[in-house]
Amino acid sequence: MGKLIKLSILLTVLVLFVVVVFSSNRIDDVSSNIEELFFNVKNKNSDSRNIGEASPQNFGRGLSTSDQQHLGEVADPNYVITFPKDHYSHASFDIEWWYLTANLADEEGNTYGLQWTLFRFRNPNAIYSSGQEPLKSRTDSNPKSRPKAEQSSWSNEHIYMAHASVHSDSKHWFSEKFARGDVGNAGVGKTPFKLFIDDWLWQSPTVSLLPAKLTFNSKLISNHTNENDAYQNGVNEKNANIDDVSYLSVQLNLSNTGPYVLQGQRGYSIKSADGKHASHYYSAPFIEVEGTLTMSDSLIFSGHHEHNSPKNNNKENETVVNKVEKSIDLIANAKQIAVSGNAWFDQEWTSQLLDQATLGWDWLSLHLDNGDKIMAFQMRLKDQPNYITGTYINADGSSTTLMPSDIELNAIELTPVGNKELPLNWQLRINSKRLNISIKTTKNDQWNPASVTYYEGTVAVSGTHNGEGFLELTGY
Amino acid sequence: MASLIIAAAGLSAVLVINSSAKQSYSSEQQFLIPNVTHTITSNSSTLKLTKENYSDLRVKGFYQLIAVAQTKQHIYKNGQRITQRRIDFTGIDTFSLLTLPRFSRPVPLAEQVGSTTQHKAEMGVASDEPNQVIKQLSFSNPTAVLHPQLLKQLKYAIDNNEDDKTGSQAPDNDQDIKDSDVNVGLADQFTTQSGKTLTKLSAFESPALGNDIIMDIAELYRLYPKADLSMLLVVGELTKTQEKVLRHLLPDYLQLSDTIAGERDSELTSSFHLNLMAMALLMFVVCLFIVVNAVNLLLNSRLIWLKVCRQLGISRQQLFIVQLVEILFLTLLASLIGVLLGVELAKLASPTVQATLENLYSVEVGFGKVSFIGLLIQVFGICLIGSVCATFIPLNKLNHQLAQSKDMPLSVTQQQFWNRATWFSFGVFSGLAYILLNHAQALWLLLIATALVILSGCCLLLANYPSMLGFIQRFIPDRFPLLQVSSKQSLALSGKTKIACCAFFIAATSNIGMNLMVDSFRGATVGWLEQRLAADYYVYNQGEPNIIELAKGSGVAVYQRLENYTSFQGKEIQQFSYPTDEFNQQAMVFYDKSESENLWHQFKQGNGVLVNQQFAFGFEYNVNDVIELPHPSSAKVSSYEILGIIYDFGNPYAQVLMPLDMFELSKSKCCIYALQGTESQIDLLRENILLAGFDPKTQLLKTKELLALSMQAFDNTFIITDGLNVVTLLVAALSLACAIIVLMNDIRPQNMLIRSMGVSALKTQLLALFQYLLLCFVALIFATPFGILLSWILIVDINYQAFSWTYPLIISPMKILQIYATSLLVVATVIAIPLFRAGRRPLIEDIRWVN
Repeated sequence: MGKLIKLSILLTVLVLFVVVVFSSNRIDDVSSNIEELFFNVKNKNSDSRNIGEASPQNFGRGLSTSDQQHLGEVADPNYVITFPKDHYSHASFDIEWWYLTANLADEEGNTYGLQWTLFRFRNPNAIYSSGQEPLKSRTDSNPKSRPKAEQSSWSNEHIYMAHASVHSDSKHWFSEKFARGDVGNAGVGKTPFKLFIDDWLWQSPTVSLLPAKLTFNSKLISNHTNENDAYQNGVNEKNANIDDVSYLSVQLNLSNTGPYVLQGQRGYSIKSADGKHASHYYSAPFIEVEGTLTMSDSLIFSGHHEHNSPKNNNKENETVVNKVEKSIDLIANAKQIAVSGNAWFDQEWTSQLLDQATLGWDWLSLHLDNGDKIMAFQMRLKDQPNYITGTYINADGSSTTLMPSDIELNAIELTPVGNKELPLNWQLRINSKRLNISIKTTKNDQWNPASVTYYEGTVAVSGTHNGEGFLELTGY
Repeated sequence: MASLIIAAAGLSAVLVINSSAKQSYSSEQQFLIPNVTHTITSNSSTLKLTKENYSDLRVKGFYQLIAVAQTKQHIYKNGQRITQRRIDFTGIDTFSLLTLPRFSRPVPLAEQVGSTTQHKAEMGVASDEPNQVIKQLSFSNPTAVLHPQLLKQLKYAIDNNEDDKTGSQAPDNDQDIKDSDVNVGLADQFTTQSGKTLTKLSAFESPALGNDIIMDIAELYRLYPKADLSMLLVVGELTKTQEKVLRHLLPDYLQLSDTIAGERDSELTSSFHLNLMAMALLMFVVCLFIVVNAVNLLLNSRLIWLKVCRQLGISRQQLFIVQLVEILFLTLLASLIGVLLGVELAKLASPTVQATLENLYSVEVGFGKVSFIGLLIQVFGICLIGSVCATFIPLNKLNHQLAQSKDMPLSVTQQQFWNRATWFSFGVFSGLAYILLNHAQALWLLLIATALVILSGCCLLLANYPSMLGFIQRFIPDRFPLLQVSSKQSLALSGKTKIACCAFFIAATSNIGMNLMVDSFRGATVGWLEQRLAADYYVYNQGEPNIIELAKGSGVAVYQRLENYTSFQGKEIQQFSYPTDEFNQQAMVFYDKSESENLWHQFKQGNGVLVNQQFAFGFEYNVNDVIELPHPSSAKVSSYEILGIIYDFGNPYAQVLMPLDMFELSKSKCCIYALQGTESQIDLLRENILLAGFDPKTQLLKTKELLALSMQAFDNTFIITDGLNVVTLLVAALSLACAIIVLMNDIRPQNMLIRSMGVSALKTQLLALFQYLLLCFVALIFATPFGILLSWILIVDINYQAFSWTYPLIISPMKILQIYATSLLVVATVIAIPLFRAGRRPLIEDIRWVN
């Protein structure tokens, strides 16, 4: 009888075991089924752009139309850029950006590299009322006669993307935002001038671009106390405390101390030898910046928009919100750092940049210690020699366009960063200016791991001239 | 075998339905979006959530908000509707989702070593699939995501539409859908009612998807420009300060509710699961009773053969193992057939029953993907444990029988021991039940307590069977010697049919308990509805047409109920208006009310409120307690005294009633109007409604019709319970019948003797029937108090804990008698079959058998 009991117990335990094991396997089965199906879906849609992949990728290619035949408005060499009109959006062009880079330092001499960009892309997937097909499959190349996107109260044909990136020696804060036009949370305002996406805001008190106040926040994505060790040893060192959510809230006052500089030929910037690639492009290289970076454990409300909701007209409520904001400063253990430095602003709009021939570009903006500024870039094109051009801007604001024959720009070596090899050391020679400088990034990993990935990082200048600036690498 | 099949079928059907209902519930709030903690919705019927509200909040820093728009629509092809049920079209602002931590976790390049996939795996980027699906929704050509099963249904609908003559079939397996490039082909064929072509459909297997199609919000508005923005989802936790700021920023007509509301729904859903699971388990357990008896029967018939085997030198262990292996194979076969039947049953249950279930329990029944082998192993496992346990008892008995050369009755000491053990078990069970019922709060503990009460009932019955039967015997006059013999025999029988009698007792107790509960609930609901629905007519609408305007001049008195939803102690509660005139005062049904005479005066003055049981029990308040509530129109928080606690059956929300004049139409929703007037006045209003372009038939509901409608809904809800009761009884009777077949052998000598004395076969069988019915009758007598106790526990404890409301227990003797009659009838019918079969056996066979 005892054996019978033992046998029954054994059987029961066995059955229980099988049930438990199998039910846990079932969960795996389900998830693997989902995975399998997903890959089916993904493979079927392989023609759709994989915007999140780390393989060499053309900048912004996934977000805008890239078919040569079906472009938006084409840049016009005879177009005269006027302000403030041309600070605003140029909706008929496929792509446009408002791009700020700043080399900042705090009172203790720590340096910070800061980038804030608002991109506008024309949605390649907008469905058009006549024929109901995506723009990119249409053969009508005349932008004026292009049909309007089919009405949906939740989208016009524009997509906004914004990137905010701040580097200190050891940390990288980075955030990305997306919004569609016509919803109301992103766009360009005219009176007064503002650029905004959610609570990231470039707010000018006037109709002009500058002066302005820039507020945004960004999330800590990397924290290497000893960066060089991590890279040089090739060790994939885990970030210290990266799982603790940590934010950087940025408030900057931007003032313009020099003129706007029209790049290329009066703002018509040619990007390839055959002239097929061109954009409208102007810069504000003389921006002085002062402001605060606030590091905190939780997000600080940075939005200071004019609000329209009934409650916001109510002063009582405003004070409540302000009080709460102040209390957040206290709660969040916020650490405030005063910073100042030089910034460079670019606005560029075009429909002729993101085509199949464009492999990418290497772009430099440099603030020399003597007050002069340099913009230089190399366009890398398929089956064509690289196209190098730039602008030399004197401290007084006068500028000279550098034709390919005036400028030598060479990558000295490729530096491995993660799974990529990037040209982080450059040599720039402008004989007419007796300039021969080496340009080296101040930190290796200044890669923006966004949906559209690219390198945007601070550089140090040495040689005949000293200075600082920014290097942008796309298409790697 | 059959009972095992039934058990397995029931179990697997319930498992399948349960899992699909469970899986699809998650889709209710979240679509494909995980970690939704709050929602923002409009609580006004006039002011809706707008795109501006959304962008305004995002611009102020709340970019964890995701806009969601929904609309229920049919799908068309060539202008012809092809869907039976409307499909939920959901549009999500995928652009906002893209940058949420869940979907994008930027990783520094220096840490990206090796392939992207490997890297992603290393960094644990959460669920790549939804991430990619969302990206697909926003950036590739417009795409809509739906469950493969729904796509299959749509394809089937379209095929059917196209060639009715060829009678095309729905694809038999999912593979057809995956392989054929329906994604591209089908979308061109589907249109909205207005003829706009639907976007490319992409099948995506996710438990979160049910009868819905998810797409980007811009796409939804392109297809359905009039769709309402239904809610803003808050993804991720809000800090206290964030929540505070958010509440301040929201206009009055928008409310932030945490997903507690969702949890409430899920509580309802879990009670649905509990209900189903309890049904399945009860069915399973009762089936096991049959298995016990069946195995008993089997072994009994093999007893001689087994004894021979023993004499041949085969060890007892070997014999048992052979028996167990046989049971194992039988169980495997039964579970296989059972699972097949069960899956078919579950398939039958959808989609027709799907819609019913959705309405009854407000759950979404989706397309649960259940692995057949997994289900089989689960069911087989449970069945095997059950049947091994069930076999154990008869095997134990067999062990005794094989050990003895002669079947010996229990000795007096043994009998005393068993008797004491039964009484002891009764004491333990009832003591435990008492402690649990008095102190336990958790629902599952209360359910265990209920089970303990029933078990203690079983013990009491077993301990008292002999004395009770002896007691009955005394009332049988000496004129009926046969009846006396028969009742004596039933005394002997009771010792041998313990398990069957217990099964019957359990069935009868739960039958009485459930019936009394439903009866009391029904009575309470009818009384409550009749009193509360005091007006002549009711109108349910969302503000269109404006009944107050239309009723002007018709002389009809209109009382409107204004509704607010507000938060109390972190939970969402209803804040409804209640008219204060004499007529409506009379209509109120109180569970408990303040002693004060000027209750209604205080209510009118706005000093006090009435709360429903859900509120009082949920937040633990009594009459005369003071609570702090926001004013329905000014939102200013003040103190109110609880003047009374009212009945509010079936409402999942806690509710506070306040006088109508504290509400403002601009800030509150109005969905119900009560109308009072003569027939001619109502006719006048009817004409007005017709003139305003609305159909008075759909607008005006006569109170009697409303009452009938409500009670019909009520009865429908309990059809399942009724069905369950009958099934339980039947199974108990079957179990008894099995026991009888076994016992038939035991009483063969006595029967033979009676028959040889000249009593007819029919009479003997009738006498046997009498014996069993007597046993059942005694069980019923014992079951009655336990049944009443059970319904009392169900109403006062379980209902209170599960739903926060109770109602008075109504014990109707008629109902109990009715249950007696039905139970005995069912038992008589079932056991009559083996009895009469035995009765047809010629006397000589029995005589031969004894000799």
